[in-house]
Amino acid sequence: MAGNLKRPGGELASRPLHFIWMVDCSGSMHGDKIQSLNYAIRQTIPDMKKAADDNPNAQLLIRALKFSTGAQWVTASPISIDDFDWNDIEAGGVTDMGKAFELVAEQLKIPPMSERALPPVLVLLSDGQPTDDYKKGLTALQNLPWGKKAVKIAISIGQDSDDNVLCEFTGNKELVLQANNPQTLVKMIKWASTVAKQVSAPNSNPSANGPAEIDISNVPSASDDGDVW
Amino acid sequence: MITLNYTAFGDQVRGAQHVKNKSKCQDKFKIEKIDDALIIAVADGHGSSKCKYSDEGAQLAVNVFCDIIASLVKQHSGRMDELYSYLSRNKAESLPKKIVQVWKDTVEKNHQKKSNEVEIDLTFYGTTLLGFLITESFCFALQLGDGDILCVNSGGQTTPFIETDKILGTETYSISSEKAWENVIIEMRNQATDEFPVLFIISTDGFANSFVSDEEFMKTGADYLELLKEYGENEIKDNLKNWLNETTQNGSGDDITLVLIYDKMRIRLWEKFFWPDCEGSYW
Repeated sequence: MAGNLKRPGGELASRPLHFIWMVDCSGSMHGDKIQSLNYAIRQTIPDMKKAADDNPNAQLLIRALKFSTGAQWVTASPISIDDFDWNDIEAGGVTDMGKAFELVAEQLKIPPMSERALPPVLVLLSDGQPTDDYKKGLTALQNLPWGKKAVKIAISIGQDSDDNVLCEFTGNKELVLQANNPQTLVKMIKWASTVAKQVSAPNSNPSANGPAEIDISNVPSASDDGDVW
Repeated sequence: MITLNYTAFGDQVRGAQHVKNKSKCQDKFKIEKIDDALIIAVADGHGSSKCKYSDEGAQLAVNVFCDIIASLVKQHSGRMDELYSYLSRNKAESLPKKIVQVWKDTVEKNHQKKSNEVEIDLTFYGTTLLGFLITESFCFALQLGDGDILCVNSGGQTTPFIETDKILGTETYSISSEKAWENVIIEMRNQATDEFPVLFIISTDGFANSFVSDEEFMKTGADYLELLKEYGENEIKDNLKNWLNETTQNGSGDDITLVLIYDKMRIRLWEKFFWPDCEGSYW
């Protein structure tokens, strides 16, 4: 008898799950909108940490980028939800949404993405219309294997946003969530953050050509109570 | 009577996330020895909410594969060269179609017996299927959906026996989908013309997904071969469940099935050559 032998095979690891906030911080977001957004994203962190603790077999990695005049990563590289903190962002400038798509597309290539990752979750928050050639960046994103499989959610802030563009991004109008006041924005951002938990389950689905499927039956209803943007 | 040199054993564990969520193991496997052939089937039920009976679908898939192949082996008993020719002729279309169709018919019958639901949606029973047949003269492998069939040569070099177009994320080809047979990949190797691997490893996707990279996953081939040579089958059997539990807990969290098929004659020769004084015992 040799007793307990060492496990054959190489290094083990949980599967990475990339969650990306794409935040419009153009001038029209100034004031109440950006304040509510900063507040809401910060509020999601404890729940996302708990969701990550509940599933140690998925490694929840967060990133955020902001776009206005140009686009840039707020977090330089993907970081564990345990180390993630939200620093308030400020609004000003135009709406270069296409640049944001290009930045995300660069990061969804293989590499740096791993083939064994869970489907990434992209959450786009915007209150306006793109001021740049968004099609080029969006096409680059949609043509990538992970761009196709990513779960894409858009939160349309206020009544002036271009929902057609947001719908082009998500590929599903049910995943364009309307937030016309601060309370609803907080609810929608919270719901979007819970999608990470859904995507992290190891169960399989029969193949489809589109993004990974998620349950949208519990999306909060949009409320127009209170101040309307 | 020609004796088959290959033997097979395996084990499975419920995924760490399935234990936590109190959900069933969706993996099923079967090993059958028929005359001078060894038949192995491994299936991984999808397990998602819209595949609510996929554990049953997986069990039916391994049964169907083993039954169909066993029947062919019996029909060609003692004439494995003819079976090779038959499988070569039918691997592109009629055999995959038959396996998928028999599975669908069996699922429908099973559903009518067990359920009050009049409508049947085959997706409820969705599963992958990995099938393998080895005789003294050839081996045959079938893959529908994710999972891996690896082969290991006597030097420990490990390669996929079947190359598949992997789908990213958590989706996979399914036996339940329309025209599922189109997604079946079959690979055959004839001992007269090809070198036979000393070891084959069949596993569900929960196994490969638990490793940090493909390179780390591929190390399992050489490691299992070394363990077979040095410690033998029984030691591996004693440890296998613990290893698979460690793998799901620190890896994917998914169910894992692992089956090893190896050439016991070549392993014994290796033992005699390298450990001539220790036949039948280890220190």
